[in-house]
This record gives sequence, structure tokens and C-alpha cells, in this order.
Amino acid sequence: MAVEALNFQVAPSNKGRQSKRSLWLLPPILLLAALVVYPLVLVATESFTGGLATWREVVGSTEFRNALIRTIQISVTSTIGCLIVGTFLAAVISFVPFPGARIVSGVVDAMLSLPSFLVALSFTFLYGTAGVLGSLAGGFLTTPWAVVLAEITFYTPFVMRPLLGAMARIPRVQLDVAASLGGGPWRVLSKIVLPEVKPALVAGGSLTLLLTLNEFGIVLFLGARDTTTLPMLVHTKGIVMFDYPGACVIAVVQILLSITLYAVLRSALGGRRARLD
Amino acid sequence: MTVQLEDVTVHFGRTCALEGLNLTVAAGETVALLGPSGSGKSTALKAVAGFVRPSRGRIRIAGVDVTDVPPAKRGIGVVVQQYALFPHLRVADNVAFGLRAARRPKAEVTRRVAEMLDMVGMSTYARRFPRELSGGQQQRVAIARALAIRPPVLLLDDPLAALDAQLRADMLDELQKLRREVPDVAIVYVTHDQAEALALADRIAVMRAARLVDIAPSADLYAAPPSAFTASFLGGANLLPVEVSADEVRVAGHPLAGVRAKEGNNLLCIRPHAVRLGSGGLPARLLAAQWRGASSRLTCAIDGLPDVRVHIDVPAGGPLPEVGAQVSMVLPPEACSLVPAGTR
Amino acid sequence: MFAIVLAVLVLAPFVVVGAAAFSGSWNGVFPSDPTTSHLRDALSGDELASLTVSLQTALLGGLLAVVFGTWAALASRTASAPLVRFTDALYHLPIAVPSVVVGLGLLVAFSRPPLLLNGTKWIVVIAHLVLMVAFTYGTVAAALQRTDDAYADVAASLGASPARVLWQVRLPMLRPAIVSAASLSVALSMGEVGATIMVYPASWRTLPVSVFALTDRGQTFVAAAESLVLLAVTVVLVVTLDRLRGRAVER
Repeated sequence: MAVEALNFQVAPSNKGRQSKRSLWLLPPILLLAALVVYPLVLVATESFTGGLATWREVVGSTEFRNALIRTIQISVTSTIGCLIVGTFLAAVISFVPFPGARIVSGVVDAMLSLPSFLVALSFTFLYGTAGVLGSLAGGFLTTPWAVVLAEITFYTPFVMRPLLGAMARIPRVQLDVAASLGGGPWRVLSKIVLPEVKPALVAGGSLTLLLTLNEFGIVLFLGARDTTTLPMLVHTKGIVMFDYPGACVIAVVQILLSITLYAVLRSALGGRRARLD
Repeated sequence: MTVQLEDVTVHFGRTCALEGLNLTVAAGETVALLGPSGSGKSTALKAVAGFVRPSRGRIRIAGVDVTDVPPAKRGIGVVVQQYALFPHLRVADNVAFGLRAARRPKAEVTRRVAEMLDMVGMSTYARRFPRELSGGQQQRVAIARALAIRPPVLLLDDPLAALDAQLRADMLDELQKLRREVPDVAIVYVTHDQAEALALADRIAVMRAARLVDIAPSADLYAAPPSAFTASFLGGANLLPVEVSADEVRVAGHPLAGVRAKEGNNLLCIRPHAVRLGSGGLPARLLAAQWRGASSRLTCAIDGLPDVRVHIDVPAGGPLPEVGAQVSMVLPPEACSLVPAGTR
Repeated sequence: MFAIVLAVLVLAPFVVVGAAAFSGSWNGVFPSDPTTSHLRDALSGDELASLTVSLQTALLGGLLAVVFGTWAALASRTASAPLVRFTDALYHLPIAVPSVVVGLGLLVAFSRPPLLLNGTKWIVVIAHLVLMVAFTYGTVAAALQRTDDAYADVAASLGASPARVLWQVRLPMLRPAIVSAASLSVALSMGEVGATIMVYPASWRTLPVSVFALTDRGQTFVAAAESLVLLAVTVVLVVTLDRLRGRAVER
């Protein structure tokens, strides 16, 4: 009886303290609710202001379908490119001794926080009609390949960062033993290094896929006619044509695409937070 | 001032980390909570400190129920495993932390910090940062910080675990000296190392799987362990299955003279150093011998009990039988006690 | 081979932008007519105004992002598990959604009552706050996960109130993480285009938007010079912030 009475006393006070602590989360949650969730909900409702007509019109347009396909094409191609280049560079930095390896990984870190449009701007000088390779590259700058190359340039460090971390954790002895058993560099890379760093590869690759899907600055600055992506279309419709409902429809599609991908990635990575910085 | 735990139970989610612990620690007494990892000993300490809240039971300090009192109002000194010295504060500021939290006058803080650092022999390190100190030095500072607020109770959570063997022995001496400096403080000392418990504690509470197994004055617990677990965990006793009939005790069919039978207790407990090789004992075979400097540890199997390994410590210097040889093992009755088999 | 790949991929863009900033024309393989007139253009009139706008936005947005990101990370330390998962998802939302969409949302939401912010600088600051808070939250939360609760426990056992534990133990120990969160968000904020281009009023044009306007008008050399200014200012800001790291040790 006495024990039960004690129990009764302990339980509510425990709960009280917990809920009082949780109260501290309220202001930051409200902030994001007001500044992110509420606007996004309005975007969704705005897309239905004309009933389903706006949806039918926008989704039915070739402009939208082309942009959707373009976005996915560019994103997938860029991600594959980043994975290949990133793995190669990370392997060299990690396993081939050369002076300045530390500086290079410092540069990689710095790249992550730079604006992507810089790369696009430099392409104007590199591949533009008047630029370094202008005469050779011809109309390269106006093709989707320019966007892909720019995205590979900009997003490769995002693949390299987790890879460098994972490769640093592979014991050197393991590689030396493999090499002493007669494995050539490619064999060591494919049989030992790659399986070890697979989680990092998946994490970096999926992050890059998400970011390239959402990329705007590069497409804006290269401004190629053929390369309208979904974010670009949101901008054109919203700001240039003042067609808010149309922009909102595309935004909703984009949100669904990105959030679905993000959710799939997070669960696929086993709840491990993909570090985004 | 005494610490009392009544039926204290702690759950982390669905796992039960501590089950119905009853324990009293008197002022000036040192009680060691001894057990393997996961035995609930650290959880018990955290419950007394107020870091975890019991799902059942009460904790009293000097008769006052503190179960619902936050750690800041309990006035208990705590030294945690990795010491948790505040890395951004110098040694003196670490020690002063509790005094400043209590808004003591500046002069008093300065005096008390000097006193405490002097007590643990760290006066010359007052201006250093924790990362500039060795493990043993960090531990002294942590103790000084905990004792600076003059707590009636001091909790030490495996304070020597992070140190290497030599330093551990030195710090054990230091802790014994410290005990005499604060004669009225009740100390709860959590450890997984039986040597530390035997060296420091007045009483030892042996814990296992979230429960208290045995509690008794250290000497009693060592001399006559009440359970098989305590017997092997505290001092690594040999445990031999025996047949108990009427008032005779037999090991592998051989009667043991002078050992009193007890109902239901069918494991014979004897310390490795108490077993002797001589004539007229149990026939056994020597399986291995390890020289350990001052003594040698022999591993034997009694004929008829091939699965039970018996350890014997013999002083170095005497002749040792060959490995594989037949030996005769004497179990002096005064060194034997019987414990219930239970689960090991 | 490696050097070539690295050079083409990583370094070339910056070298090219840097070279273009100082050249009068670029008609062959190499730039010609070295000049500093672009740089002077980039540091005068409207473009200089853009620089101060960007600085104010980045510092204000970054500061708010650090405050709320740190607050959310600290508060979710003690809250109940489902609430923490919710907060975590909420604070990752701005990263998962394209910045253009975040901008569109703000534009739709704050062009109408109850809050009419469209046309003011506040909508730009809010956009930057929202985008950066995800990074500051992530950085501080990761650092918190690495710090042992024992420090706060010990501080409490020494009689420190929760406020004292926060200000004298938790925050000082988090200082390196908070500083890197701040420099990251300032750097990202200085270069943000997607959301800004959706919401900016004519009176509050940030540096990247000006750079885009310049390229759009064909003034690519001035654009390059201005990008160089942007890079230089960002580096100075990040280095300055890094000094605040001080001695604090992150475990």
C-alpha cells in the first residue's frame, strides 16, 4: 500500500518535469512552423486556387514535362559523374603520397561553402564564344552538358568529403597486406577499398542527387535555352510571368520529388544523419 | 549523515537497470558497490546523485527524502568516470565552480580552493587547463572539486578505471589518505575491481544483473562468501561441486574431514592460496603452471571431476611438479566454506 | 593525370574568375588588357550598396540562425523522443526543399495579411535565416551528440542552477561548434541566390543577385570582379569568426 502511494507520487512529477523541459522546444518549432511549414502549405493551397484546372494545364504542358525529364537527367548524370571523379580523387588523396595532400583536402572543405554560381560564371569565360576554349567548344555553353559539367565541378567535393573520412579509417596494414599478396592497385581499390567505403559512397551520392535535383544557381547563370529545370521553371513562372498558381503547382511537384527522395535516403541510410555541411 | 536507499528501481525505457536496491551508508563509512559492467552499480550511484530518476523507491540523505530533489539541491560530491573536468576552465576555476554557484564570498572561494588543491597536492597546477594534466592529476582535481563544497556524501564512480596499473596502485594509497582527511563523509565507491573494493571499503555490496547479491563487511565477505557469485567475483575462489549427505561432505567421492555440511549448499569454496600440494589429499593432475614472480599459479583437475579447473597459488622457490604429473591436493577445512550453487 | 583532373575541376573556375576580374578583354586563349577598372566598378555605386546589403543580411540572418539553431539543438536534448524526431525533420526541411521553393513560399505567405513583408528587407533576412538554420542546427546537434552529459550532471551536482549549467558549461563547451556553424551560415548566406532572387525588393539587392544582373546585361567582367569581392569578403568574415573559437576544447 505504502509502495503504491509512493509510486503514485513519483509518476506525475516525472511527467511534469519532462513536459516542462519539452516546452523549451516550442519557440524554435513555432518559428519553423511559421516560416517554413505555413508558407509551404500556402503554396499547396495556392496551386489549387483554380481548382484542378491549373494542375491539368501545367502538368499537361510540354514545357513542364521537358523540365521534369531534364531535371532528372541532369541530376542523375551529374551524380554519376561526381561519384566517379570523387572516388578517383579521394583515392589518390588518401593513398598516393604527394606533397600538399593536406592542402587539397582543405580546399575541398572550403569548396563546400562557396556559391555554385561561381562555377557557372567561370564557364562563361572558359567555354563562352570569347573564352579560352571558345573556338573549340563551339556552342557547348548552351547545352545541358555545360550544366552537367558545372554541377560535377561544384558537387564533387560533396562526394569526396565523406569518402575521405571513410578512407582515412581503412587501416593501412590491410592495404599493404593485400598488395603484398599480389593485388594490383585496381584490384585493391575494387576489392578492398570500395566495399569498405560503400556507406560513405551511398551517403555522398544520395546527398549529391538531392542537391543537384534542387540546384538553381548554376542553371540560372548558364541560362541555356534547352536547359530549363524545375527550380528554373518555378522562378520563371513566379517572378518573370507572375503566374503564382502555375509556379505553385511546379513547386508542389518539386517538393514531393525532393522530400520523397530525402525520406527514402534517410531510411536507406539507416537513420544515420547524412551530414549536409 | 547517512544515505538510505529504499527499494530503488531504475528503468531506462524497457530495460531495468536497477531492481529494488536497499542500502544504507552511514556517516564516515565507505561502501563499495562492486560488480561487473551492467550490474547496476553506476546506475545506483547516479540515482543517489540525482542524475537519473528512480521509477520506484525512495532515497534519503540524513533522513530527508531527496527523491524528487534536483541534483543541484542535494549537495552531494560526485566524481564521474572520465572526471568531466570543464575543459574551458583552469584547474582553480574548476575547483571553485561549486563555491561560485553557491555565491560564496570571493575571499572564501580563494581560500577554500587553495586548501583543496593543497590537500590533493595540486597547488602548483592551479593555472593549468585540464588537457594539460595527466589522468591521475585530473582525478585529483575532480576529487578536490567535489569536496570543495563540503558535501556530506561523496560518490566516486570507478575513479581509477581510466588509469594504468602502476598509477592505479599509487592513487589507491592517495584515496586511503584522503579517507582520513574527511572522516565524517559517507563515501559510495563504485568499482569493478575487487582489489580496490577490499583496500578502501568498510563494507562491500556485490551487484549483478541490476540486483544486489550480497552485502557485508569486507573481511566477512572475503572469508565466508554467502554466494557462489560473490565467492568467485571477490577474490576468484575455486568452486567445487560436492555431495552432501547426512553430515558428511564428499568431493569426487572422497570425504572431507572437518567440513560441516549445510542443507542445500553444494559448492565448496576455497581460495587459490589456501589449497596446498601435499600427501594424503585428493588425487589430481597438473594441467598448467604459470610463474608469476612471487608465486606460481597451478591449474589442476581433480580425478573424477575432469571439467572443473582448480587454481592453486604456491609461493615461488619450491620445486614444482611436471605438467601432466599426478599430484595430491590438500584442502584445509578451516579455509573451506560451503555456498549454494545458484547460477554462476 | 591527377593534377590535371584536380586543376580542371576544382581550381580552374576560380583562376578564371580571378583573371577575368582584372582583364579588359578576353578574346583569345588568355585574357588581355590588364585593368583594375572592373574592380573599381564593383566597389562603387549600386554594387557597393549590394555588398553592404549582403553583409547585413548574412550577419543578421546568420546570427538569428545560430541563435535558433543552437536553441533548437539544446532544447531537443532533453525533450521527449517523438518531439525530437519531429524537430529534427522540421529543421532538415529547408535543405530538402529547393531554395527557390522556399523563396516562393515566403513570397506567397508574406504578400498577404497577417504579415505583409513582401517588398521589405525582412523577407530576405527571413529567407536566409530559414535556409541557414538547418545547417546551424545540424552542426550544433552533432557537437552536442559528441559531448558527454556527465559535464552538465557534474555541474548540477556542484549546485549550479540549470541556467548556470547552460551559460557556464554547455555553451562554452559548444563554442567551437557554434563558431563553425556561424561561419558556415555566413559563407552560405553571402552566396545565396535561389531564395533571394525570388523575394528581394529593389531596395535590398544582395551581391549574388547583382552579379546575376550584371551577367544578364553582358557585363561579365564586372560580374567577375564583383564575385572576387564576394569571395574576399566571405574569406575575411570566416577567418574573423574563426578567431572567436578561442581555446575551448571540443571533446
